[in-house]
Amino acid sequence: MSKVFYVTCPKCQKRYYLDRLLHEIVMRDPNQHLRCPYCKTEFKLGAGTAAQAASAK
Amino acid sequence: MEKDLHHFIQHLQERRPGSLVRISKEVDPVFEIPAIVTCMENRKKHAALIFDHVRNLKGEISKLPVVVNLFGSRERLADAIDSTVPQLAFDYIAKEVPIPPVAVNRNSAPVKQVIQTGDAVDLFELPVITHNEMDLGPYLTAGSAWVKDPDNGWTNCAIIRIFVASPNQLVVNFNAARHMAHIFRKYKERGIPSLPMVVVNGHHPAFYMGAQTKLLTDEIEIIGGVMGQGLEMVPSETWGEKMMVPANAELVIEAELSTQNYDLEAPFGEYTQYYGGQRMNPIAMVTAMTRKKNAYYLDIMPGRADHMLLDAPQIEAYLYNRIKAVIPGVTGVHMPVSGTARLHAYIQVKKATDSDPRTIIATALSSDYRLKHVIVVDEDVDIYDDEQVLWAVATRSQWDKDLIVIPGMLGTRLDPSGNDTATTKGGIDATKPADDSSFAQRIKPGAIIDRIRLEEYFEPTSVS
Repeated sequence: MSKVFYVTCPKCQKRYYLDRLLHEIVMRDPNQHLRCPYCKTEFKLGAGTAAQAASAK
Repeated sequence: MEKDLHHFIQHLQERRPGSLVRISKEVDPVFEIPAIVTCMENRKKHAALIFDHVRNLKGEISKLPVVVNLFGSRERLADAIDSTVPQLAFDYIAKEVPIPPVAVNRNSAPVKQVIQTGDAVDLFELPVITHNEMDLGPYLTAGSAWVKDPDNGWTNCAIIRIFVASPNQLVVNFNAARHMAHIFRKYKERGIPSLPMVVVNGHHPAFYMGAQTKLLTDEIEIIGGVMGQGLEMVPSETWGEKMMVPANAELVIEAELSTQNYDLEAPFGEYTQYYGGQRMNPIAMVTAMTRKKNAYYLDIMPGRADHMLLDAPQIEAYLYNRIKAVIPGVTGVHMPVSGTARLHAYIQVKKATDSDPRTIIATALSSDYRLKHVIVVDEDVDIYDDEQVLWAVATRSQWDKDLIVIPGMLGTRLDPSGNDTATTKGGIDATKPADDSSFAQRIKPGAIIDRIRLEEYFEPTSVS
């Protein structure tokens, strides 16, 4: 199954997902900024925090 | 009268009453219009809609009414190129020929009636829609994005999703496998920091159908072929004659597409009715925006028939030609909305041998990376009717010999059941044996069925 990579917005706590390429960028650079589609907050996952890889099933 | 969106809307009002509905109620650009289209489709209605009072991204009532679901019916696509639904793909093939564009006087070009350049550019004046709840924000979905190949000067036209990030900034997504990405890589690899990009929003539907050609050529000329007349063009504000724009477009956005600067884009709900995940994509800085005084703003509804059907005749024509070169007995190709008009194909054949269906399946599946499942049926099965195709599968296939499965082919990443771009493809031979002398006969209430007109017995539209 294709995997999507869920992250949780630190402000609104809603989950959305990254595609594989952005997930790889975030794994290399935890300071890569992300943007929550729900509350539009920009955030970073930060060092030591991993995005959860979840399969689509 | 020049062919443009106004011309086609007038045609619908005069010749297809009921296929176009005008709505005066004030609506919000966030989710409300997509919800209305979804509810309408759930009731099996497919009208094009014009919303006269839509708030723009500043919260004001936009000067531009919104047109949506224009491509949501095959009848409207057929009307656009003076065809009929059964003949749509064949007539599209016949019209897919180059007709050079025509330069016209800039001063009389409707698209130059309102001009914004530099600091005056404000994308937030537009009623750009946010379609689905996980979408990053407002997206242009009916923009035909034009870029030029630096080697041969051909213009590639691609309908792509474009995120409106700020009043003068777009973030652009294009599939890595497509021509636009190929052209983009040429500029990037040569160290050229940006390339001109024109986004055409709103034109006659034949314009859009021509722009979706799969032919490797200057696509502006194919637009002319499908429209039946050379596309009238005028110089752009930013690049002059180096980049011409359609004179009768509703709205043109000119931007420099960066090969170096990227920003976040997506999630966005795609044609598969799933969201594509957030990613980094190139930024385009808008340099000018021009439009008609009475411009419509066109939106293509993602994941609905509006989105799926626009490309269908072109894919069907392309597949038909590919298959016909190998199996001359092929008589029709249909990409049903039930299969996103990309992932499934129903293919009709007058069989010469029992090997024909498998050959058709192999040819079709290797011709379009998105095509995943093929069902081959006989001539007596209506490929525009899902029920009939499934009836053929139910009564004319045995899956120990009629099911073909091919793992590990190239597929679309937007199919969540695949493995990134690798997917398992398959086909079903749902045809009778070539020698059907021992095969059961399909029921039919006599030759009279071809003469029955329901209207002589009752009013068909009055019954459920």
